[in-house]
Amino acid sequence: MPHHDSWRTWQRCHPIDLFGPIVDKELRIASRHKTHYALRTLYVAVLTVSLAGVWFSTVGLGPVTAGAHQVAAMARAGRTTVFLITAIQFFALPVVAAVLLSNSISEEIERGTLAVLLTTPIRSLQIVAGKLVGRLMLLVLLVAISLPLLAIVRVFGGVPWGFIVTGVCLTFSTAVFAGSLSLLASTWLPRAHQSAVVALAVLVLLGLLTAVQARLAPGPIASPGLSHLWATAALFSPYTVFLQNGGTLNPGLGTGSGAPWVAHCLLTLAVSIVLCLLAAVWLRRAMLVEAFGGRRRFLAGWFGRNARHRFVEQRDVRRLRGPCMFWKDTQHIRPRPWLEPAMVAVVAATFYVAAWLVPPSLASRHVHAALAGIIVFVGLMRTAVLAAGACATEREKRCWPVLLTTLLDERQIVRQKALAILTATLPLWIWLVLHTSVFAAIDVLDPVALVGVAVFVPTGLLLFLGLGMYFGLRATTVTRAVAMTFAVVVGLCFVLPMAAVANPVVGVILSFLIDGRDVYGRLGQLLFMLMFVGPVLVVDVFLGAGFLWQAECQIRRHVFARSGSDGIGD
Amino acid sequence: MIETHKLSKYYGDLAALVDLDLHIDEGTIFGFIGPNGAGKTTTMRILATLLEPTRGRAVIDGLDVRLQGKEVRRRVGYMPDFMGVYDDLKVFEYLEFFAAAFNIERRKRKDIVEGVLELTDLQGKRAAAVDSLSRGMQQRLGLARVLIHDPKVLILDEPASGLDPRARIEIRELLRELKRMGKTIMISSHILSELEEICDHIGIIEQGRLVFSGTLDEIRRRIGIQNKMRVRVTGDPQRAVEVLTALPNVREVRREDGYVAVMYAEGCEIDGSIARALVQAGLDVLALEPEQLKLDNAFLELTQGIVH
Repeated sequence: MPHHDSWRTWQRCHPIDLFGPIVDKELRIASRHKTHYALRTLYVAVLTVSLAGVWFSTVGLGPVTAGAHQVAAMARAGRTTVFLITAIQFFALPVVAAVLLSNSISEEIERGTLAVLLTTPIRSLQIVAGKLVGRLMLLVLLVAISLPLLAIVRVFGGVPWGFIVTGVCLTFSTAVFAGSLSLLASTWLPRAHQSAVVALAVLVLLGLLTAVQARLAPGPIASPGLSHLWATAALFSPYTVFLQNGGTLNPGLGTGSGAPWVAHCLLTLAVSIVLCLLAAVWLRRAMLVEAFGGRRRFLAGWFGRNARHRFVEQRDVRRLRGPCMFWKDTQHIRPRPWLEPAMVAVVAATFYVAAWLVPPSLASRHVHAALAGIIVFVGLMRTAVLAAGACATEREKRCWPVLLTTLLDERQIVRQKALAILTATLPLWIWLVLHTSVFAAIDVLDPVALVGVAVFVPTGLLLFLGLGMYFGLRATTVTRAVAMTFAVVVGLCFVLPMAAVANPVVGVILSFLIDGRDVYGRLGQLLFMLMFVGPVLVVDVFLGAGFLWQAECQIRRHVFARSGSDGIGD
Repeated sequence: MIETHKLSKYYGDLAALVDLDLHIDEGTIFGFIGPNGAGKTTTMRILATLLEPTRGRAVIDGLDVRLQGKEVRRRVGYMPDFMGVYDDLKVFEYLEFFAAAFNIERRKRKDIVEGVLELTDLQGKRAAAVDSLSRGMQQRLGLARVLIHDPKVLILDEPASGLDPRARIEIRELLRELKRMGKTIMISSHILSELEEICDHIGIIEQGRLVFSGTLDEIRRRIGIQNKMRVRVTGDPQRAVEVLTALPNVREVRREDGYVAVMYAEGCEIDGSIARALVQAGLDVLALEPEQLKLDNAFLELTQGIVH
């Protein structure tokens, strides 16, 4: 029956059969998610605001004038708009892909549905491909929304089709890569935000590779071999390829030579396929472990739930010391109390050795300001995320009903949790204070930097602790709580300009950059800084205290509500 | 010990509880039964101070649940239908945490924790991770937790659900032991045969309304099996029916599933005369027993007509 066989082969190659019913399920679920609609609305809003901003800055609101000037202005507006939209897509969509795919497998493991899938004829590769395609459909939709806009803007002139095609292809290939990576990580890691962090860390490393390439690029008189090697290295970072192709629109960005983007896209897609195959293999193992028990290996073995079980089983019984909630949360946040100080010590030692090897670094206030900014951002982000996780965990594990029938009241719970979280980030703050004190003592930094640390860090801690706890008590799962907190913190720090002035990271950096030539000049700068930032700091303190108060109020309001449940019970 | 007056709870338009009047005496085990969504868990959550009633009043040991929450929590041990556990803690640590949460002095905690571990037969698991315990062990740990502050009242929501028969028997024995210790226990379960073995009082709730509350004897009377004997004889059962129908005080005799059911007037001791009459008629008596209360049947009968 050759005809019958060829029909079956064709059926096996049919896209629907290749991805199986998973893609269908993912698309159905996606259509019911409110967040997807919110994301689309936000995306359209960002595009509209960008377009309006570019139009007003290049063409303006004045009367329409005829002639070459108007045509040139419109062409400039067209080029800028296309570059901006393409850049927004290129930088944002891989991040969205990493977040969308981050819970794809860990969610199935947590719900216990992987073992059920094992009993069906669906192959693990179908699950992986189905998840990837189903969830990345949203990105296709987002890019599709922008295409008519790009086509219209192209009418203004000055925009080559090639750049639009390059931008879209680079965006998709990078998004597929980030999504595949996140999906692979989600087969190892128990929490969605951990998978997202792995994928985002790789994207950041690729960005750093671009920065290093730009810094160390061989000059025009370099040997052809070195230039060739450099060109090959450039293939690995999508950011290098994008910026070099951006030179065709904006000569300030790159050579405009048009880096081999086709080769890069093919390479990225090939790597993504390998990642998906690996994910399919790991998924199969995860399914078997879930169905028949056993121990998961590699990252899943180190960071997964089994690893925590093993650690708890192996350690001795610890007697409770101090306030009970503080003690309990400390066991959860810092099961190995030595780990955090040790990590901070290693990072600090690495920094000082690297700075010592590059001589002027430790004498530069900018280096110190950058270090302080990083420490404050990491410390505050960790505070907010830990706060969100500590509160959301209670609901996810359904422990509130048990906890709230004890004699602990809401205020005690919030305060003791906050104390446990602050203790977890203490090594970072000790490093910051020691660093600032030592370098202020040897006159590298102005003593005002210490004032900056003393003012901005506690305010920031209050605000971010309050934010984290509030979102942790509103969200139904730890992943949602962490994602919401992460988004709000990043939004507050980097997106909203007003908040950027108020945010403690900027405050600490500014205070590190103050150069006190004389006492009056220094005082003047300090006074200016406090006058400028002071009122916003007061708002920060009020907001932080308000969020903490709201967190207290939220505890008894959402005792039973869980994802997918009305919490009414029997 | 526990009283509710016109207790009601509404979730929007949904009436989870409507004018519930309960009275539970001190030192008794009160079984709370009803279909899914009947309002059992809602009632228990209100009594455990986790939910505010929409209207009405609940009193435990003379304390208003809404107004004196903290004092009520001192007297109540609540075990929810699904008990969350902390996977970072060991059994001893878990119980010591709750001992501290109930403000038990540090120097007394160790002895108290060891005591409840012994009572619940968990001494061998004191160093095990809480999350690694089986479902039955976790339920026992839940009972150990609710006993940690020696409450007068225990509110247990489905403590036997999902347990294997051995674990169920163990939990039942533990509850009997707690009753002997003078605790007042309010327990809900879907396994009605469990409740009929340990409960003194039964409350049947349906669609947020209490359809029956009383002792097992009162249920028997209500559904009419108080004065009923079941007889099994060799030979012709029809002959037995004829013999027994002729006895004084017998109201009705009928054949049921190989048995002969004898309904007699209230207050009569009739079993002796039944046996004598049958033997005199030449029939050997294989079994002669009062009709047992089947809570499943009672539940079906008492909730009949209200289920939509």
